Amino acid sequence: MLVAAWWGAWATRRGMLAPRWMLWTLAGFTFSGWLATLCGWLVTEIGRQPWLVTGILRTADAAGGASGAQLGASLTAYVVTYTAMFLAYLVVLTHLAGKGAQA
Amino acid sequence: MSLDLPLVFAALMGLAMLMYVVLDGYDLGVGMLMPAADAREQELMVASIGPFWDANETWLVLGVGILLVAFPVAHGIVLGALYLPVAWMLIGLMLRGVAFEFRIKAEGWHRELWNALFWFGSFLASFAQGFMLGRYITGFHSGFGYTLFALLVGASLCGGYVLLGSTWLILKTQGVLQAKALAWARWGLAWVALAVALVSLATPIVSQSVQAKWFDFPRTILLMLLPLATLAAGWWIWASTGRLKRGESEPDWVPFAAAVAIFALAFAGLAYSLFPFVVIDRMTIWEAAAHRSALEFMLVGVVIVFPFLIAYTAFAYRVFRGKARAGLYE
Repeated sequence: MLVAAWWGAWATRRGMLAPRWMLWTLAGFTFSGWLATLCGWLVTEIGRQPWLVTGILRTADAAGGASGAQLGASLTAYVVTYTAMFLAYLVVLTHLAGKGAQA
Repeated sequence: MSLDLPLVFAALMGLAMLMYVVLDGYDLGVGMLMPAADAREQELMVASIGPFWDANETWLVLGVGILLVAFPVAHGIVLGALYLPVAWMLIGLMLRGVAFEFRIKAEGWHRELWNALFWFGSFLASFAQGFMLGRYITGFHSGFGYTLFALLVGASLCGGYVLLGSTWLILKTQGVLQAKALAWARWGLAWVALAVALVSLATPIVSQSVQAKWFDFPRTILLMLLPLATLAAGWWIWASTGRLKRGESEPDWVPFAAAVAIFALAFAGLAYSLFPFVVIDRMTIWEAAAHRSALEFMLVGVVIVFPFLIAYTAFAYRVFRGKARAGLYE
């Protein structure tokens, strides 16, 4: 991401226009920050197991009493909702980006 | 002098919850009324809650936050027992939040889709909250009767929010939409009557201690002021919407104020019933409270944050006072 940022800064120095293939590459970076955050989070969450609070509280001891079926139902609902909203987000993003180019 | 910190935090938590129910209640109610209005009216309705709805939800975060940090054991019991309805509520709040932002940018059937999701999210969140209230005041007992009761409270809380939402629209709109809102308010009022009756009858039946508190002469006579005042507020809404309907001179804020009064009175009754329990008949606020040093530490934060919350809320309502205009929120 850092390389891409510096590369972009270099390519647009003194009001120069970046080449089209490069713009497409940068467009691909739209989700890089998001991906990096998720990956970092995943690493910390998995890395600290089996502790919830290292040395003080185990994850197994802190888990609530909700049944597997309840957890399954809510997880499914969250995944479906977030997937639908992510798709909607992509549609809106594309739509707004297209509108910007016409203006 | 030593402060009774669990009591202070219980009062703050109660205040946050009441603020949430009244404030987010009216914007959830407006969301549920969307299908009853035409496209132009819908823009006005959304504009009337546009500057406020986001901030209204922060009170829920504050209330549940206080439950977590000040009464951690009760937080575990309450949210553990209400795991599924909490999940449904969150999905409802997510859907309506996204729909609120996206519906403005969408056109044609896309906008209709977001309107439908806005309605559905508002309904799901309201219903889940009522369901949770029903489960909470019956002590999380399982069984068909208890579930049915929770479902009824869920439906009637939706009606209560519709009352708040429609009286809010009476205050914030005029003309045809206001006339529609006057009719909606009366429907909402019927549901609120059902809700208040259900909860008032159920709590003493379920809990001996609640029964003992309310039917304890001569205190009962003084306590009867609460239901009487609630009845008066309900009658006041009926009479006031009637006067507004006939075009007689009547301030447009009266129905909303009376609706808020009903919620505040119902809240006071509930607080009296439950106190000193945080989980009915099982755990008092002192048994559930976090360690004193933790409460003292948090009190510092609360003393700093609370005045800001109150101040920016008051400021926002001052800036956006008066009738709503379409396109105010784009």
